[in-house]
Amino acid sequence: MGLRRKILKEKYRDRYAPWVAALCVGLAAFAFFFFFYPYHLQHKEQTLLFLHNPDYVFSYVGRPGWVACLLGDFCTQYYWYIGAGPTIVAIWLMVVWLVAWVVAKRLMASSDWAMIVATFVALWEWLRECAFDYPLSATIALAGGMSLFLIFAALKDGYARTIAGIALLAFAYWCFAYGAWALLVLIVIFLLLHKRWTYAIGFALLGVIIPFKSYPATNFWSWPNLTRERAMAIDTEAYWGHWHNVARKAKEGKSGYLDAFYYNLGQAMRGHLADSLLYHPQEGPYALLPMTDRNSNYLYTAAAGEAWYRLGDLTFAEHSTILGMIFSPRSEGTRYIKRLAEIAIINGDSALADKYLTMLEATAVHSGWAKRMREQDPKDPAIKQLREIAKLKPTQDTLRFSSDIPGPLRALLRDNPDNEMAYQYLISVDLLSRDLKSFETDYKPQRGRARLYDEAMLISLLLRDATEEELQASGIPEATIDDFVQYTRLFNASGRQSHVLKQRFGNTYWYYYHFSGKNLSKNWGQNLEGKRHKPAPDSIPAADTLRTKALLRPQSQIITSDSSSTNEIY
Amino acid sequence: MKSIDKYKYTRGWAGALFIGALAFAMTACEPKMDKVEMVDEPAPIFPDYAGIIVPCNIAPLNFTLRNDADYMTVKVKGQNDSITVRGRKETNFSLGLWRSLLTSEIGNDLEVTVTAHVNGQWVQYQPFYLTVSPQPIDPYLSYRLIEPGYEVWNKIQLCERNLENFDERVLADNLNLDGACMNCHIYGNGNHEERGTSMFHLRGPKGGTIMIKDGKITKLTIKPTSMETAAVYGDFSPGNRYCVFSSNLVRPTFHTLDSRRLEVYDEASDVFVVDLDRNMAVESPLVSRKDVWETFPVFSPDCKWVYYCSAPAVSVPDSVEQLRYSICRIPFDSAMAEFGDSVEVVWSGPEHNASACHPKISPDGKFLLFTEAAYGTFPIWHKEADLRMLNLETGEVDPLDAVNGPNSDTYHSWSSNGRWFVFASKRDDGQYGRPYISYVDTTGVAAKPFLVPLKRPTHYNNTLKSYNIPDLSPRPVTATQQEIEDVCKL
Repeated sequence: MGLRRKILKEKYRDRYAPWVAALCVGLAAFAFFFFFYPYHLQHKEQTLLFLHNPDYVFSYVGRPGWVACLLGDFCTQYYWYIGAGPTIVAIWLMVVWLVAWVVAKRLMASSDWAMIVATFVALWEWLRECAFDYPLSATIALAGGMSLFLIFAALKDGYARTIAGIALLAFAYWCFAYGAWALLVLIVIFLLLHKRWTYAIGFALLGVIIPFKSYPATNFWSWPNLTRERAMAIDTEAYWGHWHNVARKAKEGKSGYLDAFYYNLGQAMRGHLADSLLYHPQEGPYALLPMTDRNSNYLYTAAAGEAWYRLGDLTFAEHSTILGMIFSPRSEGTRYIKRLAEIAIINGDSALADKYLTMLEATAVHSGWAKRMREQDPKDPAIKQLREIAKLKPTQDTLRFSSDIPGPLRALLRDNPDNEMAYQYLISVDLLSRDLKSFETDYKPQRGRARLYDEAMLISLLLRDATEEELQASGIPEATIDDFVQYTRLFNASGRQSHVLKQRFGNTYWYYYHFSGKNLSKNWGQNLEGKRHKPAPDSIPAADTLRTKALLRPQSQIITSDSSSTNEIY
Repeated sequence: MKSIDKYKYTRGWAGALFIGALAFAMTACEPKMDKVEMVDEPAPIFPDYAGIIVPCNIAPLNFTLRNDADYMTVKVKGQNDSITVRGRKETNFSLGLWRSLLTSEIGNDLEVTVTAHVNGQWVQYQPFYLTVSPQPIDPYLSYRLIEPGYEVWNKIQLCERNLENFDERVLADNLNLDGACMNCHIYGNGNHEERGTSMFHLRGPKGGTIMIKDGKITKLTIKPTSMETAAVYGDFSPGNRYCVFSSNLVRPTFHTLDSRRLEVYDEASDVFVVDLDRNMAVESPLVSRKDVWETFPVFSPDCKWVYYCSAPAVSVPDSVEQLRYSICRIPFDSAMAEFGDSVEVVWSGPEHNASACHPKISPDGKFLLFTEAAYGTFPIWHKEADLRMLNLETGEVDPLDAVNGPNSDTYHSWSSNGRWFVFASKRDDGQYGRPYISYVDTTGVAAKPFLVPLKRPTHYNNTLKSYNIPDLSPRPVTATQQEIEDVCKL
């Protein structure tokens, strides 16, 4: 009985263990992608445009790897649904595991070793799926290539198998592209194990002669990038319009342009930009509205389109969106098409809107959205938003360079003085670029004060040697002025050591003005007259060159206009 | 043995049954055409091929229905022949049958009758007609496929399409060239050459002008020292010994208002000729003045003139709306390789309160096709830009009302027999340029244009690329993509 039980146990283990192992791999992959890495998958759907029409589907046929690409892209479109992406990826990783197990068992005959090999293969593919541009097609291509090996291995030894092997390689390349490489490697290993040296060398030479490409795989190896996952999380939450999540996630993140950009945008959307600007590390004005060129990160370029869209500058919004799409991994994506459709609708470009909406109607998951856009129901929140944006559009024409950021903001305000977001952005751009001269021109105290503006005004007053009367007329609270005096004293006493000032003054504009911000591009702020806005120099003049005649406050006393003492603290 | 035989027959029967079922299923999908209602309206087809004149060698004019039809039958009937196709919403004319039809109907009209199954009912629309011209069109069309990304590019392909079928090949793909920008491909003018001549510009660190001539591919640096920039716009002389270029300092800017989008102007531009045989530039102060901007040069078919656009320099961008280019010409002595000493205004921009761009002369030298815009030098982004035909003998300008559509029409190119021209038009959606063909008779009257046919016309709706600067040629580019890209990488 003991022996019989043992035999039965072995039999069930051999039969069911691989399935259990595969299921474990699948569950683990699902858990990973659902709880720790979901936004990469969401992003892959956003940068894909899979149309359910004959022209689009047939465009796959004939390309190398068409089966893998068609199937992979078809599955990827459903990543839109929460949980679908992790599920689909998990299922395909299970398929990879199972195929790899069967293949390994065929090569080495030991089920246990085969399971170990299969696990390594599945893990390798799992890690590659962590890359932002790694398509599901590549995973399917690998599985397809490996599965064709089973056909080769089932054939009897001889010339027929050799010819079949070559035919299978060609077929694998046609259907699975780089999956043919997997097939070739397996064939060579198989032949070596069976001591068919000549055939093995022959097939190996095929790999040298025939220039197989890695398509559709985009890398050989990858690793989870949690920083990028965080960036994609913020970006995706913004795409979904979850601005409270955007601000929260951006604030959690480490410094970087996208964190700062979405933090700023989220705060501006809630009308809190002035109060919150320096409570997040800022990297200069690029974190508000970046310049876009060939070297710009496409994620950031497309994000800039979101800001311009909310501001009402639809030309720049469209420009950034198209550029973001062009530079995205596949130069297409439902996310970009949706934004372009919105812009076309607001601009009254009905034929263009129709093109984009027709494309979206041919997708599996966005056709409902397209239908809503066509119906233009005034009660629909999405339509209401379009109409709100339409009110912000400029009414006069102005020409500007793509590098001119303050100019378009001023144009928006000129045509819509109530565009509060444009005002906040303009002031913030002036401040983050340390252009206090522009700040003084653009700042309108009657629109509302903020501590940030008062802090900037104090520096401005100091730099132009303002009088006591001007200081009084500025309306800056005494407490702010006192803080400024304390700051300047500490600044001077510490020998301009930032760490000394950071704890107390790290969120002030004074600290930013002296210690933060990066060099601006040489084209920054170039307006059409060819003059460049001159930002404050990146290296702040030595403190002792600045005079404080009007602002020196020993023991918090106000210096009167007839004071004869002048103490220079800079 | 007996069991194997039994399975062999079983497989045979199963296969036959499967094929039969498949055939039945396919035919069963087509609804019966028992009652057809005649409607007094034109078929809502895309592209619009009604009332056009087509070359006798054009590929099948596949079209789709723009309504809720789920099935259709199309009959194309001439005086001697006819073909009928059935399908869902798109036609798929057989290439062989189509060619046979056109060949047998040269000079005749074709009647096209569309019967569609719409909302459960068969309807037959008013037939439309098209005329088969005995004049063939140059079979090769090159264009740049590029997103309307304004000033920055990523994936650009230079492609060549055979207009007699649906073959399209890539001449160069900038994905293989480190993302370099490639400017539009221009065919040469050697009608008697066995091997075609053409060129395009490659920008960036490894930039240059890629010249395909006499079976060789070379990369040239074409920038005379007196010029601000390397060559931008250009044209070959008849015989391809000379090229005329403009050197342009191009500045893109953006409008704030509505859909005007982009405004591109030159801050300086001059014209010069390059002698390809002697590797030397030919300049003249008359076409490289600092107070005048000269651009878009082309040779006349007899190589005696260089035509170009010219405008007095203005302060840009504030006065860009005052920038009005005229069409001028200057004599060119091809034997001595030198310009003449006088400039003649052929069409005055200021007088017409408009601006001319891209002058292109018909191969017979009688007509000059150009784009007229309200101002400026980049008409593809001007909605009001339209094509005009100038009769060089009489000086009359035909507004080409039958050709022009809403949104910009520009970037035109003549066929070598002078009976057709192709141009890029944004009439369909205002953003994505598509290639249109129009017939021109010997008196310069142009017919209604038609969209270059595709195997699947819905591709125009699915693509996010513009067909930029289409150019016709009787011969293909003889080099392969690999050969071209190898030279580009030098």
